[in-house]
Amino acid sequence: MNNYIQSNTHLIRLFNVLLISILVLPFIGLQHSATLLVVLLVVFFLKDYLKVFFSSLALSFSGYSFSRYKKAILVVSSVIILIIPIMPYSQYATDVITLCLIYVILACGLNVIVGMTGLLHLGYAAFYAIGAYSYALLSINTGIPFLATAVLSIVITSFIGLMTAFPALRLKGDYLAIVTLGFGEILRVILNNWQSLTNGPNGLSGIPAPHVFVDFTDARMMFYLTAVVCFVSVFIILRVERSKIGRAWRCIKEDETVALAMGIDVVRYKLISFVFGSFWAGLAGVLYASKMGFVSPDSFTFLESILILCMVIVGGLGNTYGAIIGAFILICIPEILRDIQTFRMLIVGLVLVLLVIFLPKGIVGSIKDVNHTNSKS
Amino acid sequence: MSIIRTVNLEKNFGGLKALSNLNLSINKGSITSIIGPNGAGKTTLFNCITGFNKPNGGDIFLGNLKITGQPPHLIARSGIARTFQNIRLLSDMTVLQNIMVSRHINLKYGFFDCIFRNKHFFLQEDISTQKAMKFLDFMGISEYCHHLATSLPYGIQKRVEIARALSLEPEVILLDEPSAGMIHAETMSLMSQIQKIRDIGKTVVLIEHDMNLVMSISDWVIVLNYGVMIAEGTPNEIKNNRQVIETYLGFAHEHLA
Ligand SMILES: Nc1ncnc2c1ncn2[C@@H]1O[C@H](COP(=O)(O)OP(=O)(O)OP(=O)(O)O)[C@@H](O)[C@H]1O
Ligand SMILES: [Mg+2]
Repeated sequence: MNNYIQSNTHLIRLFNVLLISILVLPFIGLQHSATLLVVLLVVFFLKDYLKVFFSSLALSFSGYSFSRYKKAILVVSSVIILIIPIMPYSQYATDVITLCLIYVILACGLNVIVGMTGLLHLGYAAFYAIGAYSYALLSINTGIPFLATAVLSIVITSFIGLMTAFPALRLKGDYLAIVTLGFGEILRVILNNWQSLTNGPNGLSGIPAPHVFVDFTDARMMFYLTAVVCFVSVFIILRVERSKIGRAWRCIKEDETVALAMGIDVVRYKLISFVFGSFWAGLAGVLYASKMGFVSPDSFTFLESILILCMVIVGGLGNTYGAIIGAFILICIPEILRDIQTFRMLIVGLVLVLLVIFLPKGIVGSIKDVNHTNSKS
Repeated sequence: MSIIRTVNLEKNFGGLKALSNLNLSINKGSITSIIGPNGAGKTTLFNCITGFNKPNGGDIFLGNLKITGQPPHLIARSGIARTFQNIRLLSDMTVLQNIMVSRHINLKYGFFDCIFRNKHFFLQEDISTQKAMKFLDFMGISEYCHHLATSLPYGIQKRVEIARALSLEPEVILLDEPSAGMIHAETMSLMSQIQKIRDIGKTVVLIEHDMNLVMSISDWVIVLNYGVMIAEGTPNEIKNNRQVIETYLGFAHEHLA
């Protein structure tokens, strides 16, 4: 077995990382491909080598028991979030938090694909875009009621997810990343150039707000709708994670050979993961389009895919609670730093790199680790 | 009655004939050992039977079912479980979680059962957890069920792998060097556990270098050398077979001494 199914050597990985970065150069420009290169290098290499740093930092976490206070932390933070919109002068905060919740859905959805199943997906924003544009086009051009439009948009997104995954999943590891990345770029080019359908770079405006018995035009109403949808989404994802499906995904992520030997249909479960993940992107797209009333290709660039990926990594690959925290951190920090415009993204980048260096398993994953070591000693 | 049968099985890696013209048959409910020097093709035979290597020629039967060239997960579902020569447990998971992964094919519920968590879901999960614990108990390692699997001593990890294969509830279980790296006392209890596996009606095929283990528990021994079967028979016949002594046993005895 040992010389039979070898995992990628570091050298091949390095080569692939460079290859990806060079291949995408014409599409996304020097700056963005440099960003990609750094992100990929961090993901692939530093994670393994900087565990030493992590273990020293982890000591400072000892004494906290995350799992014991998990329920309390969840309840308190949910309550705080839920009462913000009814506070005075909270319009801006409400908007930011609504956006956070949409990203929570996105991060949890991508976490299913990247974190749980271990499929590196670099074009997740494309599926977000498909959800948003499907909803925009259907609601502007047809008279179908809101719920039907929403469901239809999500179904379209999942279906396109299935169609992409089918050929892409035959490819191993890093090559899947290239295909998904290519898909994201192709979609962006289509959105920019199919003038008659998408109105090109100017985007689509006048998208109606959600309507279920009442109109959700008010920002507060929209917030509570998003909160309910977000809660249900996370709930469903957690339940699927804690079933034989989630276990099969985790096994595939860690060792496909073992998965096969245990009778798990690896291709089928990768497909399920991909489609299930795309489903949430579609849902988030619908929420986004109906909240903003406007969509344009600018909102669904490659950087958007990377941003969502960062949320997943910051939280700790494969951890749903981590992805939630990651989404909040990566949306809120740039908002807090809005006053120092120029250095904003620089600081965000720095925070990211530091997090990955010091907490290689992400925030939740690292705390969990420490607790495990403590409880045994 | 044979449960696994190969007919003219061939496997080449480039110019290397890892298995050539192999005809063997493994009796239902027996313990069959496959022995032979390093590089004899023992693991390759396992890989062919379980579908990880596609044979270049010949056929493999499980009972009357032809399984040649089928994908590994379907072969596992038809009732052949295996362990690996190098331990392949899932890290970041407890022992029990590792075993639950292999309950996969025996857990009969669908996607919507997961989401709605109905009675059926809990019933299936409960039964599986109990069975998983039963197999850990069977291997004498239930006390470790909440330990992280990869943090345990080598000998225990080997047992976890066997428990994981058992919990597929297969008809045939293939063990690739189960005693490798075990100390003497561990090997002794492993021997009785392997016999217990046979006694509950499973067919056991094992690859082993420990001749003491092989000769004391096997019902049948098959000797491979350079991909060719040079002898087969009961442990006593093999012990006294001149060719086997020359090519392998002599060496193994020296090695042990
Ligand atoms: N994937 C592969 N590609 C090329 N050659 C291989 C491959 N797998 C096995 N071989 C070769 O086939 C031969 C048989 O290997 P195999 O692993 O089956 O030996 P083995 O009997 O299990 O030996 P050991 O006792 O060392 O485990 C060896 O020469 C090995 O190098
Ligand atoms: Mg071997």
